Amino acid sequence: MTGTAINCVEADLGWGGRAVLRDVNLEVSAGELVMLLGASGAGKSTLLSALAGMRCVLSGSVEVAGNRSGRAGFVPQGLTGVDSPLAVEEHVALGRVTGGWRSSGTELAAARALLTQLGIGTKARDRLMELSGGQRQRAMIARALMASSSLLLCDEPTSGADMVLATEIAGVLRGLADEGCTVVVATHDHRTFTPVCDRVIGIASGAIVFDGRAQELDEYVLQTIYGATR
Amino acid sequence: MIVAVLNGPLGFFLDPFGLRFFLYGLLAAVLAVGGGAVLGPVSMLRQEAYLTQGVGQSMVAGAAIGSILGVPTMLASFAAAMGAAALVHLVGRARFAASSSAVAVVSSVLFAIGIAVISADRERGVNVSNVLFGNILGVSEADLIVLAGAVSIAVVFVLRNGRMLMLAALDEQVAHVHGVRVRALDLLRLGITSLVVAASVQVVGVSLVVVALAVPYLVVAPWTRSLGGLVGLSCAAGAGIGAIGMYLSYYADIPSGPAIVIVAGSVFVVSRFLGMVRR
Repeated sequence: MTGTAINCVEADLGWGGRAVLRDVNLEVSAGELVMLLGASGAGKSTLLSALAGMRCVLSGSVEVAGNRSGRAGFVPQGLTGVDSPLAVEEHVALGRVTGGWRSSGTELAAARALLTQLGIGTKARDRLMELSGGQRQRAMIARALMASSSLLLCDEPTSGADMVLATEIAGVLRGLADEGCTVVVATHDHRTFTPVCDRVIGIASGAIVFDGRAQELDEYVLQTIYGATR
Repeated sequence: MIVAVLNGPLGFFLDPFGLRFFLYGLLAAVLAVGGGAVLGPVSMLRQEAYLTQGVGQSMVAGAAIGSILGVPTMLASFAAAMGAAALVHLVGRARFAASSSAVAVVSSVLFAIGIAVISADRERGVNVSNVLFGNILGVSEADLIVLAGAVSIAVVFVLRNGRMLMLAALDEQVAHVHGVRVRALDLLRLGITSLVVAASVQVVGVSLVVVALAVPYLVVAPWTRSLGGLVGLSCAAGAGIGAIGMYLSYYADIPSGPAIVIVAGSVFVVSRFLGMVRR
């Protein structure tokens, strides 16, 4: 791992002037796979939004090393656009935001390369609705990588997935981190991600209450993060 | 031989051109349905068929009030369409009500106001039937120029921003994070859609205007998997539907709006049937 991918210094994060997270100090190295844990409403999505470049930094600074325009790739919770008639490669190519009314040959080739890297290259011309749940999620990861191959932000990527599928998705994200991509995953599914992540950030009561290695995640820490809501 | 062909199959297509209104009507239909279709893929993937229909209905109020104030019908209809689209958008954003509920309330109220105004002031001669179902006979050169202008704006807009529009239609949050200015682009798109809808009313009428945006996309969706194909083929299908609809209108002596819609519905059914057979 070389270089710093994320650097938050004394950052207050929130919406409409109201802070959700206070005094966030966080430095993430390139190639780390970081799991964000916290109860619903604790501020995981707010932190993810700040890293995604949305205007929720009230004070302090949040710096990310995304693509050339400073953008991260984003994998949303849940899947939308499944009923569109577009081929998977077209979906993925759209992840790179450029003008024009159709994807260029270069963009489609880059999309196919990413799909191949993620093990679904043969599905490039299929429609999203023709893919299995795991394949769809891989396609969405590929779309995010089209925007940035250096920083990937995932919001509950295993939401609604069974154990096998969740493990498959976690493995894909681990593979990307091993290749140098910084991956930040906001999740409730700590059992799936603990074996593959490098680091855990626990959020509770508007602050980071735990920042350590996955091996340090025990019942006491989980109790601290989730409290009575767990 | 040549005379036989001209009197036969070719004559079928060429005879109506002896009438100027048919030529203007044909051009208007091709522009309205073919050009409007450029906005179809994004509108339909955003599930805005109902919104488009609602915006169309709202224009009755614009046409009626415009006739009282002496404002050109198209301009007044456009203002009403923009107002309705903005109102629905704001209500949806503010989460006062579900988007579909906002469309229902806004469009019904404006439609009712329009009918009430027309009924209360019959002397001005606003023809409800023409507003609802279109009046191709009344298409003037000025109408054609306005329609061509509106469609040109829509085409240029999609040619420049189609990929970003599609990403926002597929996933607004992802588009936002990836750098698309979703809200600004969306407002611009709604404005241009309102413009095209207002300009198309003369051809298909407010109650049928949604067909111009929705059906061409639905017809081609089973047959292409690329964004370029969706946009290009939708326009081609729309232009074909508009032209065939005009011939049906001419030979069956029925209003242009319903004729175009009947053709659109038939083509849609055939396309879906062939799509199922192919599978």
